[in-house]
Amino acid sequence: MLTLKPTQTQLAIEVSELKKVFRKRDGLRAPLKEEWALKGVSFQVREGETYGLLGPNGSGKSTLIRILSTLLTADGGTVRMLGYRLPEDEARLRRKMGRVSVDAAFYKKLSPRENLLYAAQLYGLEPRQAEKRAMQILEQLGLESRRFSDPIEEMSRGMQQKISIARALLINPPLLLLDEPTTGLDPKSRRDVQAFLEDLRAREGTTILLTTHDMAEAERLAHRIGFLAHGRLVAEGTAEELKRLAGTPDLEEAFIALTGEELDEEAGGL
Amino acid sequence: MNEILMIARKELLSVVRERRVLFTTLILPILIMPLLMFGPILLFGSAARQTQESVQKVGVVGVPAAVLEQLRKARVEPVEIAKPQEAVQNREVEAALVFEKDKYTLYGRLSGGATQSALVVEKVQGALRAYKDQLVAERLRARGIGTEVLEPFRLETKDASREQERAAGLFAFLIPYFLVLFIQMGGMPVAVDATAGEKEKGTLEALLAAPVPLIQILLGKGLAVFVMSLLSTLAALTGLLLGGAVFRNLFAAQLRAVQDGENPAQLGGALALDPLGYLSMLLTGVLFALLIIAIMISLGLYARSFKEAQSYMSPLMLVMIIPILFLQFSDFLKLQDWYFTLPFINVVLALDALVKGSATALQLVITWLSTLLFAGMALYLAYRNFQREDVVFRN
Ligand SMILES: Nc1ncnc2c1ncn2[C@@H]1O[C@H](COP(=O)(O)OP(=O)(O)OP(=O)(O)O)[C@@H](O)[C@H]1O
Ligand SMILES: [Mg+2]
Repeated sequence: MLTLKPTQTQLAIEVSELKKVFRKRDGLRAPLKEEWALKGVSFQVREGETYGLLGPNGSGKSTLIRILSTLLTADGGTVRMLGYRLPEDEARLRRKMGRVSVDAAFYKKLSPRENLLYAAQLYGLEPRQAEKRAMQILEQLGLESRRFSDPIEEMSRGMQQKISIARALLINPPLLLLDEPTTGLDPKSRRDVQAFLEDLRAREGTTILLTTHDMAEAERLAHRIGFLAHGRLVAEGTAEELKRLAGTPDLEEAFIALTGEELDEEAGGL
Repeated sequence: MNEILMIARKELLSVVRERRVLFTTLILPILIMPLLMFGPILLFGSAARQTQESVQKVGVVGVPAAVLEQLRKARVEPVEIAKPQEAVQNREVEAALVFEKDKYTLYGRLSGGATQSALVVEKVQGALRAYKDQLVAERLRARGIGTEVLEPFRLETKDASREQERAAGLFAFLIPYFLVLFIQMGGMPVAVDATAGEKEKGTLEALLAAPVPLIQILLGKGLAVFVMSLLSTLAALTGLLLGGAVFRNLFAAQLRAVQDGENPAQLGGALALDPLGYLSMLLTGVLFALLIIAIMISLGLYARSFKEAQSYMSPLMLVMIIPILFLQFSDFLKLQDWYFTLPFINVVLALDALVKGSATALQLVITWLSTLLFAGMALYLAYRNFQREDVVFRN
C-alpha cells in the first residue's frame, strides 16, 4: 500500500496500532460478545494537513474520532497529538481540539447564541469575546444574524450543522476532528462549509481530520486520504495515488475496489 | 465552581423553557395539594351527611310496630320483605332487620369500608338502642327505680395528642408522603433531561469532550435537579398551607358539619412546629433529596433514552409507597431506633415524627447520618457511571 513518508514539519497526529473492542450481551445470560471496531489502525497527520478518512458504514470512523476526542479509551495502540499522549494528557488535549459530529447535537430549547456561549464557557472562554467570534463565524457560514436568538429546534439541519461547526471553532483549536461534517446538507450549504474549512486552514494552519462518505469532498479538502474497512486502514495516499493503486479513473471506484467485498480482509490489512 | 454553576444554569434553562414541565412541577402542586387533602373529606363528608338526612329503605321481617315507629324517627323507611339477606345483597334495601322470638338480626353490606349501607346500619342500631333505653327506663320506673342507676358515673374522652399532631390532624401521615413525593417528582424531569436526555440528543458527547472535570459536570447537573426538587416541594408546601387556609375559610360550614361542629383545624393540613422542628424537616428533606437525586442521575445515565430513563425512575415512586404503608401502622409497632437506619423508611419515619412532634434527637441524628452515607454512596455510583464508557456509550 501507499504511504507518504511525513517529511517536513511536525506531526500533529500520530496513531499507531490503535485497537478498540466493544463488548456486549444480547440477553441477560448470553455470553459476552466481542466486536473489534478498530483492529490496529496506524496513520500520521502533519501539522496543517487535512487528512480524509473514507470508509463504509460501520468501518470504525466514528469510533476512531471518539477515541481521539477522549470520549472512548483505546484497547491497544498509542495516540500522540500535538505532542501530548492519550490518555495521560487528556485534560490538556481537550482544550486544543474542536470536534464536529454528524448529528450536530444541541440543546434544542436554547438559541444558537446560548448554545455557543455555553460551549465557550465550558472551554473557559470569556463570554463577550466568545460571542463576537461566534457571530463572525456564523456570518461567514452564511447564517443570518437575526436568527441567532431563535430556539435551535426551529432551525433546519443545515443551519444546525453550521452552528455546530461554529461551536467547534470558537476555541480556535489547532486541531479539528470532523465526523461527517457535511452529511445531510444541501449542495449549497455543503459548499459553504467546504469553502469555510479551506479558508480556515489557509488562515490559521489548522490540522483537520475529516471523515466523509462524499468522494468529491475528500478530493477537494483532503491532502491525503485513508480508506478504512472493517476496522483496518486498507490503503492510504493522495487521491491520485489511490486511483493509480486501484487502477480506476475515479476515487469512488477506487474506494469500492479497495474496500469492497472482493477485498481479502487479511491481505488488505496493515 | 464556576463551571458547576454554569452547567446547573443551563440545565435549568432548558427545563424552564418547557412550559409543560414548569406547570407540572411548580403550578400543579400548588393546585393539587389542597384538592388531594380536602377534596375527599368534603365529598365524602357531604355524601355521608346526605345519607344521614335522607330516608333509606330498610327491609323488615316480623318487627313490632313500636320499633317500626322508632325506625321512622331515625329517618329510614321500613318495608316488608321476604328474603332479607338477598334483598340487601341485591341492594334493594340498604339494610334489613329481622325479629325472631327475642332476637333482632340486622343485615348490611359491611365489607369494603365506608359503604352507604354501613351508615344505614348505624341508623338502625341507633333506633334500636333508643328503643332499648326506652324499654329499660319504662321497666325501671315500673319497679320504682330512677333511671340514674343506669349511669353510676360519667365518662369523657379527651384528645391528648401533641399540639403539632393535632394541627396536622387526620392527614398527618400524608404530609411526609407528599414531601417525599414532590422532592422526587420535581427533580425527575431535570434528572432525565440532564442525563438520558443529553444522551438521546447527542449533546453528552460534546459535554464530555470539553475540558471540565467529570465531578463538576456531575455536581452541576445534581445542583440543577436539586433546585427543581426544592422549588417543587416548596410549591407543594405552599399549596398545602395556603390551600388549607383557603379551604378552611371557604368551606368552614361544610367542614364543621362533617366534624359535628368541632374546630375545623382538627382536619389538619396545618403545620405547627417550632423553628427547630421546621429546620429539622428541612435538613431531612435536603438529605433525602441528595440521595434520590444521586439515584436518579445514576439511573438516567444508565438509560439509553428518555423513555427508558422514565421507566427506570417511575418505580422509584412505588418504592416510596412501602414506607408510607409502614407508616400508617407505625402507631401499632414500637419504633426501634434502628428503624431509622433503613434507607427511605427512616426519612418517612423521621418526617412523620417531626410532624407529630415526637421525634427524639437520637432518631433524627441516626436518620441524617445514615441518609448522608447512602447519598454519598449513590453519588459515588453516579460518578462511576459517568466514568464508564460502557454506561455512557451503551447501545
Ligand atoms: N457504543 C458502542 N457499543 C457497541 N458497539 C459499537 C459502539 N459504537 C460503535 N460500535 C460498533 O463499532 C463498529 C464501528 O462503528 P462506527 O460508528 O465507528 O462506524 P462508522 O464508520 O462511523 O459508521 P458510519 O459510516 O455509519 O457512521 C460498528 O460495528 C458498531 O456497531
Ligand atoms: Mg460514523
